[in-house]
Amino acid sequence: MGWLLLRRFVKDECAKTKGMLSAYIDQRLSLKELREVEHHLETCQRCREELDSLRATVGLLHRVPQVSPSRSFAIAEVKPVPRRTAAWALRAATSVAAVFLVLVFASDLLNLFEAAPSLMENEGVTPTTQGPGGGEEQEVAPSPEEEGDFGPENGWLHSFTIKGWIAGEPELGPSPEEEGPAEEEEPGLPSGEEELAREEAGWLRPLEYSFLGLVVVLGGVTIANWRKEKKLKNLG
Amino acid sequence: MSFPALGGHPDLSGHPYRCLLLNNLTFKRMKVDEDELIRGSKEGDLDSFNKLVEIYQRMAYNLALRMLGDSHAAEDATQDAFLAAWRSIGSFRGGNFRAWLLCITANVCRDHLRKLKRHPSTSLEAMLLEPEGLSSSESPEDYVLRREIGEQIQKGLAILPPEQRLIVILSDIQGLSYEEIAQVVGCSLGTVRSRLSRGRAQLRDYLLGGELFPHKFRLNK
Repeated sequence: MGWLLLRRFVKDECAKTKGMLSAYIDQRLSLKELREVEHHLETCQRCREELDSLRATVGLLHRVPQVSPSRSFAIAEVKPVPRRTAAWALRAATSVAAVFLVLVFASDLLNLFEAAPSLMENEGVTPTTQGPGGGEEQEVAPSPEEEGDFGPENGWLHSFTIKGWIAGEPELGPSPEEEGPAEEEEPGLPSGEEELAREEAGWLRPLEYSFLGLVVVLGGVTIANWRKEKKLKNLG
Repeated sequence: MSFPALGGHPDLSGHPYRCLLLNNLTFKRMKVDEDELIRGSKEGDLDSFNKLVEIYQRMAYNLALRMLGDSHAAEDATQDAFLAAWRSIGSFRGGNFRAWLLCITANVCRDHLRKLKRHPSTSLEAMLLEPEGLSSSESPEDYVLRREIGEQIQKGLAILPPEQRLIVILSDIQGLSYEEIAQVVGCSLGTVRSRLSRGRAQLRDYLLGGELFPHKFRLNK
């Protein structure tokens, strides 16, 4: 039992000393560690051999030849540092412009910009939309003139989307009862909302074209910049 | 007697420790020159920076070569390191320029090793590093031995984990102090000591099987 404990103690001492031999070679041990190692080395043959082999390894490493590079690494020209923030800002601007373009196109398709008269209509500003029920909100059937201006599909879409959303009760179409009086009330009157809609449509097209142009230009610059960066990266 | 390296220093002739003084003065002059070059580089003078490149390119290249084990990859890594150093010279706040530069080189080498790990193409130990040619004071036998040492050590370094390999190279091949290694690697002195100890022991175990070691150490006696 005592012999086993002694062996265990010696083994621990050896492991501890072996961990410090490298620093011992470099003379990087504290005074206390130095004394411990030297004391152990005096009595342990295996650790002395370990020290010799480590010294031989370090000696070989010191003899490793230095290799001269076959070329100079001097920098021939100053490459401009790619400004990541500028590239990201450009990409963000392109994305925002594209989103706006999609929104404007979608609004135009859904005639959202022509909804102002309907809003007014809901608030009872224009008397033309009031049916026989007095102040009650009524769906107005498209008159022939209206159909000629907006087209039957646009007129229907207009009445469905805007009115339904605003009133909170989507109506699929005018009921037969409501059609009669409305047709009687305004047969072919050029209403004020049409004129307003035409005015709004007048500025909508240039807006769309402006956004389209902006997206094309920004997208082109972004793609060119991205390709240039990629090329530089590949070269580097 | 004059000292050409110093432009002839009259006071040093006949001085018992003139070699020591000469080395000390040369070092100080080099340090002043280096500081001026660093200052010029920070102001955007590429010529000053290229002079620094000339001074340190051999050391940076040899670190990359021993880390990566491939001369082409080492050239790429060294060039990348100097480019990165030029771009970030403004952030150098003084201190040990050599350690700062080797730190950048070590980081570039780590990136290359990660790429190699993802797309392995060449084995680290497969290449043969050609040392400098036979010098006039060297016998052909010594040259062959030097070359064999380089090859065997390279194969042994390749089996070490990258962080241990880096510290063994910096310490035993490049000759940096523990303090400088700690700056390059960005760790404590205790970590440097323990990694160096493990790296040397592992390398020793590898070399014990070869013929470079004295006969008494070899495993296959």
